[in-house]
Amino acid sequence: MWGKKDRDEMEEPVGRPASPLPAAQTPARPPAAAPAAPARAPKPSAPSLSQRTRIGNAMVVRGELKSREDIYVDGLIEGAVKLEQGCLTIGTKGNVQADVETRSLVLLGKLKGKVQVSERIEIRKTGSFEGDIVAGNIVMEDGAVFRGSIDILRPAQPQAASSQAQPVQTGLPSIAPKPAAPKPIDPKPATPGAGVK
Amino acid sequence: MSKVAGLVFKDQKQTVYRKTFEAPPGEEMPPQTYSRESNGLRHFMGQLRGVEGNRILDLGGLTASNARYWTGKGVRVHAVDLLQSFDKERARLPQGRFDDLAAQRFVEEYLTFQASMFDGILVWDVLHFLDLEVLGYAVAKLVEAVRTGGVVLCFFHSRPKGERVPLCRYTITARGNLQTVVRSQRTIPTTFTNRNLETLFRDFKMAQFFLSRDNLREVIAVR
Repeated sequence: MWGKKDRDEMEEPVGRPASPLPAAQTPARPPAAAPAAPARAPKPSAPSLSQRTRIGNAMVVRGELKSREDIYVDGLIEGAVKLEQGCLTIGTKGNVQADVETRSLVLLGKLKGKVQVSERIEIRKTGSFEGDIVAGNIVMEDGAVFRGSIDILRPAQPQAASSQAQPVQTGLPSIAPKPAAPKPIDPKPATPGAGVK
Repeated sequence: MSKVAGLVFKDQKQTVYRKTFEAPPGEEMPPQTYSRESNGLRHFMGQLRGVEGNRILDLGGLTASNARYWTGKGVRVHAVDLLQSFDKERARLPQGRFDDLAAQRFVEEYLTFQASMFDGILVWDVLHFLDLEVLGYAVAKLVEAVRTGGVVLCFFHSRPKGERVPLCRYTITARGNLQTVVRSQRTIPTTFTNRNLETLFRDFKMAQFFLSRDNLREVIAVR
């Protein structure tokens, strides 16, 4: 079913970590006893075919496309694309004219629309983008065509977290401990013997 | 061997020396990189005090580094690769050159933004390579797009018409410092004198010129 050429195209790198398990099934990491290794970017790798839906170059999709799987597009999509956890790869023959919401995006073909990417967007040198991007991170190769605007999602400020920890007035009687009553001033002198005639 | 106008470089020891780019005819020059100070960029950034929340338009083909630089400061970046679009559109024209109507259409398509939308526009050296028919309309659009008090940064080559100069991509590395990547060569279509530039930017409140060592005239125009 898959010709060699198709298989080659399917092996275009996508920005997904090489984990065989979904994030929810990934075993918990051991406690941080060992010294922390330097942070490394996840190496892009192609997920297996079963995890990835392909829209071939003879296909036209109009409307809203929702999926939890990764999608590889070599055809035409018009409308909207929503991939909650997945990665959208638009191949060199792909043409997407849609608003896109996805976790990560690799663009080798054409994309026109508003794009919201929670992690990373890569625009390769063959890629052409027109529209507005809101993304966590952007990688653009020299030669890529870009026309539009970019907003990078900024990590939440630590101050915001601390402000959330502030007590909220609810109107209920306060259960907070009352402040201790001030101690009476000791009439006795602090130093023994002082004031003794 | 085709020769390109020499560039003056400064190495880490601040020694100034001259380098000439050469490439075999018909071949792309390998990318060459050098770092340079830019008074124009320093003034541009000075004009954008309190950059958070500002909007910048980059007409030189946005690089990922520049996108990260600006967005890291809370600036929203808009980008159009004007020269690439210009070349593409011109190749479609039957006579291979813009007439008045084609120039208006081109500018309407690629440089139409909301009025006073931007706090700053980075034009780099793009304007110098446009046809004169397009140039006037393009500058008029820039005047519309930048807010009052906003700033436009342009570079113009000071080499004479007909000479080949390196076509560069400019990446901001620090305030007032640019990493310049030479991508290819291009022939200078027009020579601009200071008087020409003053006329070109006459609709701006102020235009300031800086002549740099690498034969570039940096122009800061404030609306």
